[in-house]
Amino acid sequence: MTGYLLRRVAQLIPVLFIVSVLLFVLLRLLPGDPTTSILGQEASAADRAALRADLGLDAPLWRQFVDWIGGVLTGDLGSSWLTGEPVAGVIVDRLPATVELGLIALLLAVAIGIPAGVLAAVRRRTATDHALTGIGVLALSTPHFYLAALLIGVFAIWLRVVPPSGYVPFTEDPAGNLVRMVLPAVTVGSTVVAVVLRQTRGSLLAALGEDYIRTAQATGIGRRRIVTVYALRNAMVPVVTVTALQIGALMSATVVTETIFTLPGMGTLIVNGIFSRDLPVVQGAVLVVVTFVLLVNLVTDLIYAWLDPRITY
Amino acid sequence: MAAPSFPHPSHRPALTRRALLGGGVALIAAGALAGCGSGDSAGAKGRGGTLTVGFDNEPTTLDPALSSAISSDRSVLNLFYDTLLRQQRDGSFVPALAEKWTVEGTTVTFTLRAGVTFHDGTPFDAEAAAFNLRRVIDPATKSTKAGALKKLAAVDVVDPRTLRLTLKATDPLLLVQLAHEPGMMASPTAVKAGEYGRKPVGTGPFVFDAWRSKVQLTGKRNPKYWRKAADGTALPRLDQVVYRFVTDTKVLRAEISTGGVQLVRVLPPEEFGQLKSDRQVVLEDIGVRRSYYVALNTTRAPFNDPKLREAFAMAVDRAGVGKAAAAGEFDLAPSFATRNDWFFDGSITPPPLNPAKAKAALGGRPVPITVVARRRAPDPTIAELLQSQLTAAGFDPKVEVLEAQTQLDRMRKQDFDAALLVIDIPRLDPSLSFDPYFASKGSNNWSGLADAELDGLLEKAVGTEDRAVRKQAYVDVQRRIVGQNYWVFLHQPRSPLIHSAKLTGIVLNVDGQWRLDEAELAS
Amino acid sequence: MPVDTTPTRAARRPVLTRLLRDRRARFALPVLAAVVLAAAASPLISARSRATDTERLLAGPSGRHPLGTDELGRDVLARIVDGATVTVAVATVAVGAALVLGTLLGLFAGYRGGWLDAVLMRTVDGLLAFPLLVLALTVVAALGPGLRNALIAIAVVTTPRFARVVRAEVLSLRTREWVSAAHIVGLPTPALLRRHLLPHLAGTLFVFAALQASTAIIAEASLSFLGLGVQPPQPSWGAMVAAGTDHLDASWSLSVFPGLAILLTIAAFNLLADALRDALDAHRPDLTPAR
Repeated sequence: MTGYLLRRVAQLIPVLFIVSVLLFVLLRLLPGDPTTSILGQEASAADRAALRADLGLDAPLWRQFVDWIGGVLTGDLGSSWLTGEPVAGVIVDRLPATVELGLIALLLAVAIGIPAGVLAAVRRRTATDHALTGIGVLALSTPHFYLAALLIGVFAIWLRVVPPSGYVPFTEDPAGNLVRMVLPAVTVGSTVVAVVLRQTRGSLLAALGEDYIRTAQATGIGRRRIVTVYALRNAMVPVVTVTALQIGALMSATVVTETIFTLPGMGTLIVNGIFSRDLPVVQGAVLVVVTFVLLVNLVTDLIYAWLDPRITY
Repeated sequence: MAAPSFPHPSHRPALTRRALLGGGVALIAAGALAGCGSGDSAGAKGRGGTLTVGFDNEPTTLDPALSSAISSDRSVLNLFYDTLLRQQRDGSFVPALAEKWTVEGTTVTFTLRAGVTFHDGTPFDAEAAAFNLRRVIDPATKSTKAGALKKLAAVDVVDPRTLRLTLKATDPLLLVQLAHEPGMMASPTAVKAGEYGRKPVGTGPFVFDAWRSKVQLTGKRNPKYWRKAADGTALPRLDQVVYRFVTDTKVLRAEISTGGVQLVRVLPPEEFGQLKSDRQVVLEDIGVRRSYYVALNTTRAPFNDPKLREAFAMAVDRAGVGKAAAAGEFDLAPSFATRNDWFFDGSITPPPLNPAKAKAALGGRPVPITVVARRRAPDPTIAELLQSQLTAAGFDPKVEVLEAQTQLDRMRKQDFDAALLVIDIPRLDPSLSFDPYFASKGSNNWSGLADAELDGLLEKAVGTEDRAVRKQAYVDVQRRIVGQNYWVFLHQPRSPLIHSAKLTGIVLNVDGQWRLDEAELAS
Repeated sequence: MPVDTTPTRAARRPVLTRLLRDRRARFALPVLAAVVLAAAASPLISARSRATDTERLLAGPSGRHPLGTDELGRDVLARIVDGATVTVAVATVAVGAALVLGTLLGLFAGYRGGWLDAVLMRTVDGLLAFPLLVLALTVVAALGPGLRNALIAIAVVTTPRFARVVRAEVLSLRTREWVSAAHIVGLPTPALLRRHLLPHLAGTLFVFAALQASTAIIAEASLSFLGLGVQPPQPSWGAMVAAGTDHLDASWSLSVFPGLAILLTIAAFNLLADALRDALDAHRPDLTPAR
């Protein structure tokens, strides 16, 4: 196990290196002069040239990359071209909104997805099952921007029960924060809930078909006990795996959702950074997100390997 | 030179009294003073309170010398900074940090107000003022405002209360510039401490409190503010101002109608309809317009040919564009002049809409053109409509919707045929609207103009302070631009001031940016 | 249940029969057929879908405009039909390119092994760790907006997914007896891949392609929603929803109908994938709809 763990962690290093190179090169391919967003559209050519030199943009590309990656290795993500703030500080500022969004979405997934999945499995092929699986497919098939637009239209503009946007840090005003996070979290959570629902139903049905369950039934253990104690416990392994693998997709969802609800999270940080050509911010933020996703995948794999005796290291 | 709304030095006993009291006591004293001083004149209106502003265009820096937005940053900077003199809405100047000034040829002498301190306690004196102006013109600062003070040759401190500026040549715009960003006074102590752009320290009505990027910016009442209201009461009246940075116009609309914010910088016209029926919200037309235009690239075919430029102008249904993109809330005007501007002349008109004639001028073959537009509502919509109108008139238009930097890059390289853009008007002076775009050496001469007649007119207009001569020159400038169809000016959507009915006392700059030192909220 | 491992023709036939009996497939196939038909009809209707009319902005449904008009007075129904082209292009061209490229890479990596496999798979890991939309957004921003570039971006983000699935399949198949047997008999590698592995992979790839089509359509719609997808005058459903959300007060229907078109198409692909997977009896987590 230790050897396997070390091998998996060691594999992360080349992946992260490849990601850094890809990210850096891809961002340098973006057209448009980044100094335009800093100096405004009426700046003179001389001013823009001076600023480019200041930002180190006239150095050769490999040199810029080495400088950046050297900084990253020593814990310095550089400074925003636009505002001059240190990138690490900006990211720390933006993390809470995204983390909260992700956590509420996962919470919804557990609180709604699992019970609904169990219900659909035990009521297999009934109207309840069809309705629940139908809702699941619907949720999976609704683009986040569409769901967000519908939710804003109904709850914020028509019924006016929640504010359409804005963000208050949880630490400053917990109630105000939660009220504003409801719609974005439902938007992001819709997919995760559906995925968990489908997976719970599927693996529970599979588990209920296993030999040991039949044995348990033969011994006269109650159905409820069989489902909750024996089958569900075994069915949970793939559910946990699939949920964890949704973390990456969750990050994609927050990009669109944060943009629509104007939440100051990592998604809006990255998108606005791309649009305003604030490359150090985009590089830092994407690197943090990618590293996080890779770590979650790694931990998931390890847990899976640890739980499933059939996997050999 | 003294203006009625500004206190004479003799009006300052309160300040002296407060200066004798210290710290926290001063705050209470100021509150009490304001309370009894207001008396009947304030009536039912409340003092204090927090004003929340919905603002779509977050500044990238609060250092006025480095601010890059053409004007919108000023609505934020005015919270924290004062200038030597103020320009009022009608264009006239009144004293601010300078009590008086004299202009003799190329020398301008300011007598500074005594007893003013920056928020960090640094005294405001001639040294501090000179520090700020020298900083702007110092090439090492790389100030975005250096060009505005380019005629400034020397800044001399005569004595602590006297500042003398020496110019290379007379400059009719010098006082205008000094009354806005280039002349804003920042604390030298704070500037020298570094990382200044995110923690501004001025002498203004509000003290910087906090700034969370993309979220909000907070300013707290400056209890030691030097300025008094016309009735002698203390300013500012609000306890706190919060700018919430919200870019989504739907959200801004919803926030102003639910009272989440009490003042909004700008909203697109399609949002007006609902607000007009809302009695809690005031839409006040302050003459500010957004001027949409199409710049034609005259350096290459097809638009190096005046005939084809005219065909373009005849193909565009400007009223139709206004209807679709500004919900009917627009004016049609010949150029960057609004109907209220002193250089407006309604007799200048572009060629009338005539797609058939345009088609004939093209010679029967579709003329391929590339239109570059910005990826920001409603520009893509306008571009789509233009595409449809141009196709009907025999062009073969390809629309590219780009991000700001990419679009400007293309325009600077003159790699486009037609470019759709917008500016906010009026600007502080017409030269600031026309010179960058139409002078052959202008920074934004995207059309690639080299028109000696136009250059001569533009120079004539800034060479004098005689309003009549300037007006004639600018009318001729506009006649030339429109006559040659260098640009095709589209519609001018209205951009009213939108605020809660409870909010009063907003003071506006010439170009519609606001000051909030006299603002108050009814409880 | 053991997966059917013999790559014979006979084993395929019941799959189709089973598929056609599936209620999910019976919903999905007509929907997808309608989308393809709409795309085929779009040349006939593109003039109508692009004709602006400033006298009739944001009009409600009427006899002349069954779903009303948009912010430039264009017929919404015609634009939805015209917009199907984009969706079909995404599902066929972008996903098709990713399928071919990803399969080749996966086969190559899985079969060849060694350091090339290691490098390829680490790159795939890296690409898959990017949030899909961020990667697509950056690619489009770098290449410039437009349908062709959006298709390239979607192919770029989808290819590694195919590569990973195919490689895993190859690795598991390699250990099977009949593959080793064919190898021992002396069948050259390309022939082995073509004759034995690919047919076996086909089922998995069908299901996976249907799933990726739904992801790709969402990605294109999201790009268009953010203004980076298809450029005017070509309509796209995502861009139509975006325009509709700008005019929610004036016309609720403007964003609802193109949104429904996206939703139905994606649901059809997801249900088709479910039905196919059940028909093929290939129950694996990566063959179930998830974004």
